[in-house]
Parts: sequence; C-alpha cells; structure tokens
Amino acid sequence: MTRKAKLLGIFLVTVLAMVVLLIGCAQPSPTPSPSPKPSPAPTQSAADFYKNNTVTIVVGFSAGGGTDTAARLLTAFWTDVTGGSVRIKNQPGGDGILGANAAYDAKPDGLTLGVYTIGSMASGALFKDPAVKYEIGKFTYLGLFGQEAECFGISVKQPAKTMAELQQVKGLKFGSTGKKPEIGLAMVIRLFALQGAYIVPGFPSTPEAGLAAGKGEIDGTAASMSSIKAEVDKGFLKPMLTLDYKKSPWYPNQPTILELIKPTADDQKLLDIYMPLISGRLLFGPPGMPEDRVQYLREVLVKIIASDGLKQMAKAYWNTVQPAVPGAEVAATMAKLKSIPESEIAAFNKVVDSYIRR
Amino acid sequence: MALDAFLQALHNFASLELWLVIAAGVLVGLIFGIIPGISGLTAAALLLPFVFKMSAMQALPMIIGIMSAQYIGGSITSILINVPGDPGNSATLLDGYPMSRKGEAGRALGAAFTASTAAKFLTVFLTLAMIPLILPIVMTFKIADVAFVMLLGISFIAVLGARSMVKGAISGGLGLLISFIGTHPATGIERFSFGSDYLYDGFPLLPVIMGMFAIPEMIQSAKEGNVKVGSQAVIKGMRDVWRGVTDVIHHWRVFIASNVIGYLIGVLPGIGGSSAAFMAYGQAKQLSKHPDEFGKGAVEGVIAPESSIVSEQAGAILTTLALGIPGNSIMVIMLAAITGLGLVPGPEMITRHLDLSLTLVMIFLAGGIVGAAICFALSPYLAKVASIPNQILIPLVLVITAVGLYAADERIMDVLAALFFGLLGLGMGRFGYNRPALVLGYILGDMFERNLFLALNIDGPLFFFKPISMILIAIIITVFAYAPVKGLLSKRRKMS
Repeated sequence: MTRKAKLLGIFLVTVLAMVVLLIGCAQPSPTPSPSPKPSPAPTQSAADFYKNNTVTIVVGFSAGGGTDTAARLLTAFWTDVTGGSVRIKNQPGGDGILGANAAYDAKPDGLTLGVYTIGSMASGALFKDPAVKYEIGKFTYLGLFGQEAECFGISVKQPAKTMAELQQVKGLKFGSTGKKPEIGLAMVIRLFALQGAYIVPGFPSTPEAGLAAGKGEIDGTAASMSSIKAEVDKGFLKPMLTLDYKKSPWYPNQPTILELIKPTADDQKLLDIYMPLISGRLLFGPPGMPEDRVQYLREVLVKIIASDGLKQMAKAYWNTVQPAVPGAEVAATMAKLKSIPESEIAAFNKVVDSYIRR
Repeated sequence: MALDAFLQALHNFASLELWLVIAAGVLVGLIFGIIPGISGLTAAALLLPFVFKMSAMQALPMIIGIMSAQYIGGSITSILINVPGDPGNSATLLDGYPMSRKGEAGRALGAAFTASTAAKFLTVFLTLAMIPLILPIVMTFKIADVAFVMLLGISFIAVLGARSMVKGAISGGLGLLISFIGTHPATGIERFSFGSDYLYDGFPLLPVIMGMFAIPEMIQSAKEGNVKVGSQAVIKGMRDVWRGVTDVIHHWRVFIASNVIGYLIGVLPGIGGSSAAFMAYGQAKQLSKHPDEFGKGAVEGVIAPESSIVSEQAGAILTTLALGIPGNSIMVIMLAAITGLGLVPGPEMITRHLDLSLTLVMIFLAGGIVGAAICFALSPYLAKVASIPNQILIPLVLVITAVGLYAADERIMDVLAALFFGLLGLGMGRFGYNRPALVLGYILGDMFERNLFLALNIDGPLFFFKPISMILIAIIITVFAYAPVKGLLSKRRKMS
C-alpha cells in the first residue's frame, strides 16, 4: 500500500470514528417526549431534590444577550437559595423559539427549565410562527421577572413635543427590532391615527434604531423603558408615551395610552391582546412537572428576585426590580391569551401588518 | 482635556490588583482563544455570574483582558494547524499555515504576535485622535452608506480570487447565496431551510469556517506528505520568531493601512469583526508588489489580518462606550459591567468620563502586552507543532475540530455541516475557486442584506443618492477595474 493511500486511509478511519463517537456521545438535549406525561410521584422533598441535583436552564439565545444575562442573574443566586447547582444551556435559533421548543419537549422532572421573553413566546404561538412547536397554555409557568412597560420615543430631530403635535405630521417612519415593538408601534399609529405612518422592520437592536432616529433617518421607535431611556440619555430620542395602563417609574410625568385616548370597542380588543405582552422574562418548565417541585421553584424565583444582592445587580438593567409575578398568575394570563378567538388574532395580525413596509 | 484624561488613565494603572485581574483575564482569553470552537465570548459568558459579584473595576479589566488575548491565542492554531481558534482569525490561516508548512512557523508566530501587540499601541493613539471625530463620523454614515461599505468589502472578494477574478466573484456570490439560507434578517420569512430547525437561522459561522479551511487543508497535507523540515529546521529558537518581529517593521505600510481599515470598521456599528481581517488581507494583497505570493506563505498575509482584527476591537470599544452599541457579543458583557458602575454608555463616556474610557482602551493594551509576553516566551516551543508527523497531526486536528464544533452549541449537525463544507471546499480548491471569497461573502451577506432592506424602505429606490454612497460606489468600481486596467497598461508599455 502506498504512503498516500495509507495516510488517506488513516484520515478516513479517523473521520468515521469521530462521527460515530460523537453521534454516540451526542447529548439528546433535553430528552424529547412527543406527549409529555406527568412524572411519577417523587420520593424526596422538592427542597432535597433541588439540593442534590443540577438544574439546566435552556436559553434560546446566544451567550451574552439580554435574555442570557437575565438567566445568568438568576443563576448567580440559585445556589444561595436552593443549595443546589444550576447551569445555562444556550440553544440559539429562531429568535428564541428553538430553545422554547427544547424546554417544552424536555423530561418533566423539574431539572430542565427555560427562560424566554413573554412577548416573544406568546406572539410566536398566537401569530402561528411555523417554527413554534409548543402550546402556550401547556407550559408550567414558574414566574415572570424583569418586567417593565414599553415606551414610545421619537427622534430628537422631530419638532413635535406632544402626541397631539405628532398627530399633525404625515408620513412618519418608525423603526422596529422585532414582533413586539412592531405591535406597539402599530398600536400607536392606529390609536392616534398617525396619517401615512409606517413601520420599517429589521433593526438589529434598539441602540441601532435609536442611532438611526438620532440621525433623523427614522422618526421614532418603541422598546422597553430601560432601552428607550438609554437612547434618551444619549440624546437620540425623546420619550413620548408609556405603552401601558400604569405610569412608569422611569418617566412618571409621561402620559399613558388611556390618559390620551378613549379606545373604541375594536381598539380595546387590540389592546387586550397587546397589553399582556409586556417586557419581562419567563421562567418555565415543560408540561406535567410534579406539583410540589413547581411550588418550590415558584418560591425560589420569588426569593431570588426579592434578594438584595440581585436587586443591586439588576438595577442597571431594570431600574426598579419589580417583585416576580407568580407563576399561577402568568399561567392565567397565558390561558386568557390562548382563549382569544382565532378570528380576533387574525384581525389583530392584519392591523399590525398593514403598517409594516416590506 | 484629552491630555488630562490620558494622564489620569495612566495613573489608574498604578494598582497591582488591576494588573493581576488583567493577567487572569489574559490567561483565560489565551486558553479559550487557542481552543477552536470556544471563543473569548464563551469565556466571558461563563464568567458572567462571577462578574456580577465583582466590582465594575474588577469585572471590566477581566473582560477586556479576555478580549485582548482571544485573537492572539486564536492565531496560534490558525498558523500551526490551520484551524482558527476564533472566527476572527480565519484570514490569518490563509498565509499563516502555508508559512508553517514551509518551515517558517516561528516567523509567522512572531509576525502575528508583533502585529497584534503593536496594533494595540497604535490604537491608543488612534482612539485619542478619533475621540472628537467618532460621533460626527458615525452620525454622518447613513444606513445606505454602511451597506456600501459592506459592498466594498464584498468587492475585495474578486481581489482575493487567486488566479481568476471571475472565479473569485463566483465564489463570493456562492457565499452570499449560502448566507441567504434561513430567515430573512428583517422580515423573518424563511428561505431555503426546507422546514429544518437547524437551518432556521441559516448555517452557523463556525462549521462554515472550520469546514472550508480545516478539512480541505488536512486532506491536502495528507496528499503532500510531511512538512519539509530538513536542516532548515522549523525551529531556530527565537531567531525565527525575531524575523517575524522585524517583518512587521519592514512592512509598516501594510501594518498602518490594516490598522486604519480595522479601526474604521470597528467604529461603524453593524459591520462586525471577521470582515475586518478579510478586508485588510484583500487590501494588502491588492497593494502588494507580489500579489501572487499571497496564499502561499506571504508574511504580509499574516500581518494584515492580525493587526486589523485588533484595531477593529479597539474601534468597537469606542463605539460601544460612545453609543452603547456593542461592536460584538463580548462588548455586550462589557456594557453590562459598565452599567453596573452606574454609567450610561453614550456621549458622556467620551466627555465627562473620558478618563475611564481611556483607561479601558489602555487595559486593552496592557492585556495585549501581557498576552504577547506569554506567547513570545512560548513561541519557539509552539513552533515545534509544525514538525509533528502528519500521521499524528492530521487526526489530532480533525478530532480537535470536531470537538470544538460540537462544544460550541452541542449540536452534532454542526459537525456534519462542517463535513459538507469541507467537501465543498475540497472541490472548490480542485477547480481553482476561492474559499476565502466564499467565507467573506457568507460573513457579509446577512448584514449587507439587512442594511440594503432598511435603506430601501427608509429612502426608497434612490437610496444610493448620497455623497458618501456615491464615493463608495466609485471606490468599488476602482477596486474591480484596478487589476484589469493595470494589466492593460503594462501590456501597452511592453508593446511600446
């Protein structure tokens, strides 16, 4: 056998061995279960279970992003509260949907959880993103944290100082970074009857939309309060409207939607779909988790969010750290969203789409 | 005011604790940079829970230390085993590995470490010069202009084509097409993914790069046999490494130009790091008196990408601080630490808090010095890797590649995708098509398409009718026309 043939042979054998080894060792992460069944009754208390086992939190985004950072904030205090260990598993793809799918399909023993933004999780399912394989009514919701309202801001180059003045301007261009800001901007355009206004999707992040607004290329954007405030501080945007029913601690003098307009019955239906999709991160598990572990984890989340250490660290991200919304309340909100007739969802989607320029 | 801030920043370095934290970050960055598939970003993300519990003046030096060392670590594997330790080091292997095969591994390492460290020195002065300019520059470049900067980068694709500009352009076009697989970056519409979850966001970067470079080169090495070591041994100790150091001084024009290109790309948000290295490589090749030597072991082919990737990072630090737009993923973590200090990234970071911003840039330099010192000390021994027989080296590299690919996101599909691109790369090499051109087209395609979409929807079909865009279009035409016109003129000279 020639030298070249030998080397080629070594190469081919190595490659084959590698592939077989990796397929064999490939972690089926997490264990898929097409019809998740409830776990059998546990034999140890939930507290002991989590003390003695490692929890995996699936994050559907790459390391370093906002949701990943929020999840890692939780893990920084997990051991202090539970005595056990936790690890983050980044599973990026589909704007977080693939991670949510993976957490949905995981074994429901309470050792695999997920973190995702509530708006993206709900809108992905409601507006029937083809990649979504979960049902929002079936997750085990442990709680919502890091919540904050959305804010509508306009470019500093735009002379209008109030929404009433803005209503006189025709052909406004707004930039959006994803589905939820698109929905917020669509609400603003519709409720305030901004003539000729439209939405340009595709900005990679709020800072880049803010920069474009600062240059005068677009007239405004919508995003979470903390994101808009950062752009206001840079001198790119002026905050105009809190996209919530309640005032925001960031801008307590800023009007809310209901302070400025009286929605019609049709508009109220749109708001009923939009309002639950506020900014915030969900901690959740797959369907069918044991009830005692669910209750325990809900308490753990409340404790972590209430801890002084996390509040200190998270201040920079969320201004004031609101108490975690209990899992049961989140489950009720999602069930309510799920119960909205498909015709109303389709009508909502049509309204939003009508303002988007593609 | 800038001078006062500079002196205050220098004063901040009189702390042993600061140097220790930087050194710790550098070590982590070097180790993670060397291991293919696990980059400095992974290191920073893994450290995040600990970083949260540190003070910002411990966290920031740690993160920047990691950043400053990741590419210098990544250049080691690029040069020695043709596998980029970090995607940003992909352009280095184009000439770094051929140098290693020629028995000049020490020289290549010396050139890479020197270019990287010298670039860090230069960027301190570039930063001082750019402070009054950064906001006006960034505010002047519109979205359409950024799209044309990317098109300029793509125009280098034709230049990178080894034998044929046409084949280079075809390769780049193929890279663009591959970048279109997955959801549209702006509208979210799925294209060419055939319902596959894996392809929902298109092919990830790592399998494309590892597959295009590592696998075909290993097969090529297997065919060619072992490195010609002979009496001109790979290792002549520090003499060989020193030659690489002097190469950077000798090719100072390439060094300066690459730094300027990298810094400007880093300053402009949205373009990204890997493209800086390839663009600098392209300009070095285009302006070289011996362009045919590129791809076969030209030392400028190592100097250009290694300096530009460093200056790109420094430019991105400034934009991250001044505008709060992270230049890359690791900057996101740096931003988190800065906000933890109670500071808001924005214009105030280059006015009221200029001393802090300059301290961060100088931490980047300090990290580079520490990293270079470690690498230089190890380089004569590292260069010995090139003399490992192929029977051991090739399977080792392939296993490292596969493990690195799997470690990134724990998906076996990444390994299989790399195999696919490896076979594609093999075929491209066989028929004279250019693999770096495909990779550059792939890297820039997504960002170019997004910016083009935004420009069209904001400004309409005449989006290019802007002064900067028109200048960039003129440069692009020049880049394409340069070689043919040069050839025509030299033919006429010979005839007359």
